Amino acid sequence: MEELIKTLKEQIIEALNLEDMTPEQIGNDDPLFGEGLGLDSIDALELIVILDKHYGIKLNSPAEGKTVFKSINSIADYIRQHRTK
Amino acid sequence: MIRIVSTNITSPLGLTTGENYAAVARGERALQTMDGCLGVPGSFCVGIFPESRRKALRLAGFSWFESLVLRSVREVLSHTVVNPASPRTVFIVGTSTAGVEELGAVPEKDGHYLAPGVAAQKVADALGFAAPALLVSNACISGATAQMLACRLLESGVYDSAVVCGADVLSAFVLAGFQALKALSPVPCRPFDMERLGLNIGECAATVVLTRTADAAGEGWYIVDGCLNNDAWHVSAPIPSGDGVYRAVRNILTPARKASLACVTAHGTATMFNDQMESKAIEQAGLGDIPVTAYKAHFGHTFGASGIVEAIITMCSLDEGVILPAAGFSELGVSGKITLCSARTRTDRTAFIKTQSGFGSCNGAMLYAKHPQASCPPSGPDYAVARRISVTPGSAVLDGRDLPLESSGAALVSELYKKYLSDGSRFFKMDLFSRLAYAAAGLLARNALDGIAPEEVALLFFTQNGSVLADRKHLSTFCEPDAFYPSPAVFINTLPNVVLGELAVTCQVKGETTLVMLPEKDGETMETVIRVTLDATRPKALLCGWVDCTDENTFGAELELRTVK
Repeated sequence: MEELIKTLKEQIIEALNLEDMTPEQIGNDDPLFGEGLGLDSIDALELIVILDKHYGIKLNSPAEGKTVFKSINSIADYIRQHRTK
Repeated sequence: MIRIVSTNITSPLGLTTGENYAAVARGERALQTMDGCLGVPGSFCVGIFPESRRKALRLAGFSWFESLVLRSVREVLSHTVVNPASPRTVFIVGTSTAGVEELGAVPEKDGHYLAPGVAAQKVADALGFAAPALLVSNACISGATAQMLACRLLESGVYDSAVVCGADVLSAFVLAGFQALKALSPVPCRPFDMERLGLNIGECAATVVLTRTADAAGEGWYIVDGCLNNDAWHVSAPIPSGDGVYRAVRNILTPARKASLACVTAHGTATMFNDQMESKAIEQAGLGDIPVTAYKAHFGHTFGASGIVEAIITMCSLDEGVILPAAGFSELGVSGKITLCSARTRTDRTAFIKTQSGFGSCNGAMLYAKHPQASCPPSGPDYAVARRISVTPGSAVLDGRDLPLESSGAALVSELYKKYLSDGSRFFKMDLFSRLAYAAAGLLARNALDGIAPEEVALLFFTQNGSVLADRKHLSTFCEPDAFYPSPAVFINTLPNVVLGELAVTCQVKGETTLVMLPEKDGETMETVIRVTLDATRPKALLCGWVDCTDENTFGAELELRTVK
């Protein structure tokens, strides 16, 4: 789980171009949207690409991702349950 | 007055305005559902020319995009007296992606790719235009932008006639990008409907020939007025209140004009956000009782062509005394109190408003009429250059002062941003072209726009290669057979005008924001476009100039801030 969370944070930092940010700076339960990391609607779509590309999980719309994308922990939980690769 | 003397529509529904209007009036649609369209995995509903028609219509030595533009313009010129060879005739193209279907992920894989402005000049040369070609790239409002630029060049007397072609073609590039944005409807789109699921992409070239006349005595249609602006909300999502469209419509609406309106031909893309926003704008502008129609369910969203093709279809229908229904619509699914046209409706009115909105947070509204009242040509105040900046791979010079920077190349642009701006914007999500334009313009604007209302600030940038680096990067995300992962963030950067939206959002610019793509840097043409834009729109401040970028170490920005003397 620790390994998955670290990898996931690295993938998010790279795909979302979170300049000067390290995995340690993102709390596992920090909200990703609004307060916290302050991600926006395009970032949400980018998270869908990460799930598809690295874990073989297909989400059809940002609406489906709403609860999944709450925090790093919630994404990691979802990946563990649904990953196909 | 600007009179429309001739029109053409080249779409899957026909190769002339007459053929297209007849097809639309019969309720025909260019939309078809395809599996794996253009090699993009998935099932899509698109407004596409069938493969055999594409082959038959493609002209030797020209890309598919260039072929469509050439065919549309050649047809329109065959029935006007306007002479392309006259130095008093200008050719303007409006497009969001031009011939990007010929671009490769790396230069070695390019087909017949030409930078958009170069492609426009090639088509202009083939058609015998004497004056230099112009191309505007303002995403989905490119059609309105191209027509407005033409009107200004004619009103100011720089040219006597203009041939304005809005065009975009369907490509794996665009399809993959919109799929990544989750904006595509798998079924024919349903503008303003409760059950709308998103847009369908279409392809089309549509052309209007415009001339300046002293009065509106002649029969036919006129472009009476228009307004372009930015809602400064988000580069890929319209402002929920519809403020941009509302302000654009309000600016061109007088009580007399309202009384003459037959309908509003909306943008109506059938995405959740666009249609909702437009309904709020139309209601707020006091047009809740005017029939609203939309034609995206006939052609799909044809991007750069949409503003022109949808205006032409409306002119044809009002010529017959009818408003055509918004195909695909049955039950109102927006909260703005507006009157959707759901069945063919008789009218004796002969004016309409065409609205448009696009990526880069830009909006536009134009007023067309058959018997307009004369209006005075604009004359603006005098402007002076208040500040300048130039950025190259080795230096940044602001108002004659060399800014101390340690890096060079692309890193210099990032250093410039980090050291002098760091404004919490989406800077690090941008491609190099956008970063360059953003950092340079951001520095010019800093502390210089205080006391000026956002609506009084405008942006007008010129480029040759625009977003070509982002374009190649986007292609690289889905060109391998087993690795189809287009990135929404990268795709958004492929719209070269998106940086104008980024600037508008951060600096709160709510005036007109336009990107012009030229075949090469040309100071005289740039100055002409800047001057007619200032005369017509009279902002308090304009950030304008040249930005171009071809690789990490080959780029340059030369921007000015002009303010009223």
